[in-house]
Amino acid sequence: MTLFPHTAPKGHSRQRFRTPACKVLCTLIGSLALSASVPAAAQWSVGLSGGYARNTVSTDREYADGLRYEPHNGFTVGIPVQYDFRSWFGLRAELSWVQKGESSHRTDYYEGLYTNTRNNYLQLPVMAHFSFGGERLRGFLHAGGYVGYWVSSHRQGVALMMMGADPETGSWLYSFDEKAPFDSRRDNRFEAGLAGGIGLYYRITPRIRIEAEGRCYYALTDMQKQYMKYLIPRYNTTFTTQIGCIITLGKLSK
Amino acid sequence: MKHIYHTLFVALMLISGAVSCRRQAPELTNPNDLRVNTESPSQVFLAFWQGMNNSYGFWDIDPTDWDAVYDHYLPIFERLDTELATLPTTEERMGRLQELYTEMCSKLIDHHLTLTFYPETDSAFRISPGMLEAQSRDYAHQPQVINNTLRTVYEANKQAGRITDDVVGVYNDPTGENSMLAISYKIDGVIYLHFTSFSFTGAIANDPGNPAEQALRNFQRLILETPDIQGVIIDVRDNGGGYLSDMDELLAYLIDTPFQFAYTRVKSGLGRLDYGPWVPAVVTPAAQHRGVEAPIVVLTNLYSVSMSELTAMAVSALPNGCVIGERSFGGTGPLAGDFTYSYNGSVSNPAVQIYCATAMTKDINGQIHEGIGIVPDIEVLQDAAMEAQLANGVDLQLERALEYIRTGK
Repeated sequence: MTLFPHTAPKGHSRQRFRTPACKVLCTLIGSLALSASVPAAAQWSVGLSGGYARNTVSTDREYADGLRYEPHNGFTVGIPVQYDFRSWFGLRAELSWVQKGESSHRTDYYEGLYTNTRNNYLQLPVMAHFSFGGERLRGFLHAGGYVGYWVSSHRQGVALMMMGADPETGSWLYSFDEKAPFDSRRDNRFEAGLAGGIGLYYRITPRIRIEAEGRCYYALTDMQKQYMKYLIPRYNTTFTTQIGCIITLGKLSK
Repeated sequence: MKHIYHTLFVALMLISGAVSCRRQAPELTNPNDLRVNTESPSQVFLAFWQGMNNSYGFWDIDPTDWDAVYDHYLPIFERLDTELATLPTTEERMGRLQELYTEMCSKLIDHHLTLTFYPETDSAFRISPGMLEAQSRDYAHQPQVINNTLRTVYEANKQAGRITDDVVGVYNDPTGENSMLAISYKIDGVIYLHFTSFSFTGAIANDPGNPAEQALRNFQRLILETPDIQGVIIDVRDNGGGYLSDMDELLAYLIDTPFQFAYTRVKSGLGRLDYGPWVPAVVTPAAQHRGVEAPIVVLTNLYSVSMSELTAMAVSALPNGCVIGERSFGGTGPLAGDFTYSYNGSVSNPAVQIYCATAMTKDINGQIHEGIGIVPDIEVLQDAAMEAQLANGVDLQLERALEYIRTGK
């Protein structure tokens, strides 16, 4: 029984903080186990991909009316590795570097103050790969999950000087461009979530194909540890558009 | 093909299930807009707890476990919703509440923090955790002793022929906000300024040319015109602070190049540990200035607070700076006076008024002095013996500062 139901945060549950992450991990491990049990009738392939990443931090500004959050634009590069069980089904893992982050700015009286934060993640999506279409040009779908590690953070922006002004300009605005420190009490550097994408590939030669994909990483873990009551959660959602080149290894199957 | 549809269906079900795993944000109300039933002790407690939870700027360094405060005290206040009325008098009821709030706030580190509970009622009570901490120090003494004996010391030294170029000025602000006493002179050839608060900015804006301003202008004139400055003493003992911009009337006259003496940092979000970057705190030379190379001493005592401590911090950052006296109060965070600046700092609602700093400060070496105070380079305690001497017109802390300027030791 909850003693103080009126004080419980909205949406509060008895689930432990890492439960969603554990679900994703279990799914990934399950997928890998499944792949190991399927007779190998097919093919390994490996490649390189890269593109543009646009990240939104899903949070709530609550009563901070003069604060706005905007998506952050960055880049992603990855090394995809795929194992195809059938011509239409395979398993894709892709070690990726993804720039996430957010931009925040003030409105009204404090307009001009802003912070652009870039968060660099190393992540490993593991996804089922379904393909369809002709021999050379095929469409594909990816569905799975990912785990990631928040490697570093950088912020740049303009803040207000409370004491004194810039000696050169006389302005009270202070421009900063710095590595953002992590706080181990607050920052949850482990991230896990869902990954999915849709794309096309074109086979240039029997071994080499070029692919283009739109992908989404949907974090299920908060960027913060549960370090305070009434915590306002912060979740990354990242859309990437990327192109890649994949080379099929070994003997080609018919 | 049927398998594909099956697989897709299962995948979609899994995805929709997983997507709902994200936790939702709590519903938070601006603590200044809270409407509280002040008859209910638990609602008043929650209004206070919530206000502090999101608006207090020192959670990064505060030793108080605020979640534990919630878990421990909420049940107590809920019981008081029914039990408090059984106490016979309002005094006893408020006494019980004050006791609980004092206990839970005793370790809060922001030494500007002053809490006024039930501010709109006749039975309002006030708690200042910083003052309670300061007065528990082993060198604690009564406040205002220096200010109360200032004239005695001044007249004794004047009579002894040690003082020249003196101006004493009192400004009485009709609102009381910027009232101050300022006194400046040369003692044994050393330029000296004492003032009871950093209210020059307000006093000058209200009444240009007022007596306190004249004492300040005399100090500035002595800085600019004295041919061979032997030393400067800025006396901020018993000075509770005031306007940040007063720095431009004081240290700005003593330097010829801009210098950074500290950093400040405000909250960047409503989370307890959401902070923006450390931003430099800088003093820029005044239009008329002089790079003083002689020793600059700041005199501090236990009741040197806020701007007094920032002045001591700034002088410490100068190669010729020295702090003499007692470890100061420990309230070094500046106040912005606007809650929307960083959505933290002072809060007011029918349950509680929370007066606190907006920003944290660290000195040029990265040290945070909040709750500790500025430790003097040369300690001279304001003990009973010193206070007895003050009554006779002898100020041992001032004499020690003069000795340091004379000897460099």
